[in-house]
Amino acid sequence: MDMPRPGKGAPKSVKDRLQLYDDPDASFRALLALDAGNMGSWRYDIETGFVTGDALSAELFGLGQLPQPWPVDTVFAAIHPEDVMMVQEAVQTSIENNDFYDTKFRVVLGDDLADTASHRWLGGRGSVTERAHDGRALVMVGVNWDETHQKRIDERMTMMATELDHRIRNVFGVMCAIINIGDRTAADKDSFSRTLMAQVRAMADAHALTTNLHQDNTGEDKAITVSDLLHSALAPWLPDHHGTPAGDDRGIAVRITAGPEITLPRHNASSLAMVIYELTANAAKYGALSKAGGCLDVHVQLGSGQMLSLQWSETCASPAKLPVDEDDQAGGFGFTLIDLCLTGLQGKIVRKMRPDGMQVMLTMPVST
Amino acid sequence: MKSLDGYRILLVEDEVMILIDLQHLLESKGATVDTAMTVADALRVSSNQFDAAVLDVRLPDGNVFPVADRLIEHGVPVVFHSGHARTEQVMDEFPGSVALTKPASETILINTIKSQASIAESG
Repeated sequence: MDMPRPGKGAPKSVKDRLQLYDDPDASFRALLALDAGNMGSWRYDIETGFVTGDALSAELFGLGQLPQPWPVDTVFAAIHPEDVMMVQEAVQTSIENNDFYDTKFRVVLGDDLADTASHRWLGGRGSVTERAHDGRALVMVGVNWDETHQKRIDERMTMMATELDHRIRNVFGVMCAIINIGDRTAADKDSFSRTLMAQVRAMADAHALTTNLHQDNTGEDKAITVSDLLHSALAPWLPDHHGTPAGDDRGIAVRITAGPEITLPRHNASSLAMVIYELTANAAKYGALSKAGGCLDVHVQLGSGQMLSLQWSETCASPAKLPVDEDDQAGGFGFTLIDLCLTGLQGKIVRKMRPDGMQVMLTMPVST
Repeated sequence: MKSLDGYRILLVEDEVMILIDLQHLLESKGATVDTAMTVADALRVSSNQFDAAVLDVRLPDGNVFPVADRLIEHGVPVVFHSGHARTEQVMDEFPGSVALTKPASETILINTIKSQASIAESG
């Protein structure tokens, strides 16, 4: 992460390099700039091996109590043992190449090396500012600043990237499994593709719901509400945000009663999403969502012992096209998936096909 | 003769679709399969009665490592089947085990189970 720098490798005096001859304010402005940038500065006398630093660099290295000048080994001793070699090498390379070094490293402020909370991350840059006539480096000057906050952000980003990677692999794993299960249980191409499509949407929307909730930046898993899941699954039949009734032009009414307080852990959310999207796809093909005059009521409540119950009632204006029951082959794949999801959720599902539409009663425990 | 005839396999996986799919795969190759979806359930059944175990790493109640420890103690060869990218980390902690990245191909999974089981038997 070395930055290009004019004059690299061509030794010049510092004053020539900085072109400061006609700027009487330069030294005071340099102090103000260090202060504004929250940087500590120091001077390392390479010949004698002693370092002097300002108050901030003393504090950054945890050397506040020690009288100055500090032996350079004392400064290096403040650095985490795993990082000190790297810093020494960077300093040495910058002396040899007449370039500046640019490092990030930890200083250990407590007695316990393993206690990462006692580590402070520092950024540091410096370069040789004086050389003898024979080219020997005499003095090095540099700055340090606190990088701890940025490092914590980096660590969290890495953690979230790993987590995302894991979830994506998992989604591919589930898709492979669903395709295999469909291959064994779907009666025809139509039911196979319809259920696959519903499941891809279920996973995509369940993912979108968790990701939106992630934006509070805690990096923690947030629970999804059952109401959110239902609203995203049934969105095509619900009034949009402007109050325009979307389903109305087709004469289909959807009512959802689910308290915003009923939440699911992420792990359960994806399974329940699969169930809800499959029921929706089925209703859109055969049931209340397929024809004008249809009506769907979904009622969710939380009973004693953290048992969630979801009642799904379809009412069709004319008798439902296809009575889907346990033995029905066309419903086979979708219902196989629903039953598997309920096994995973440790819940139960009862389906009843009435002349005017399907009734589903689902119960499952939700741990808090 | 099917490739896993006579094998008894413990399958630990919390994603129900994957669980059912793998269970079907292993059974179709002749194996008898016991399943668990949590660390707690898996610990209840872990013993020396298995010829091999296929373990997802991350489960709702923690990672599967205590289960792996118990199985290895009993001499049961372990195949990790994980969505974690860094499979080599797992293998560092459990030398002699194999870690496959999810979703693993059927052929690789079955061949790995067989080779691990035969190493365990000859060892």
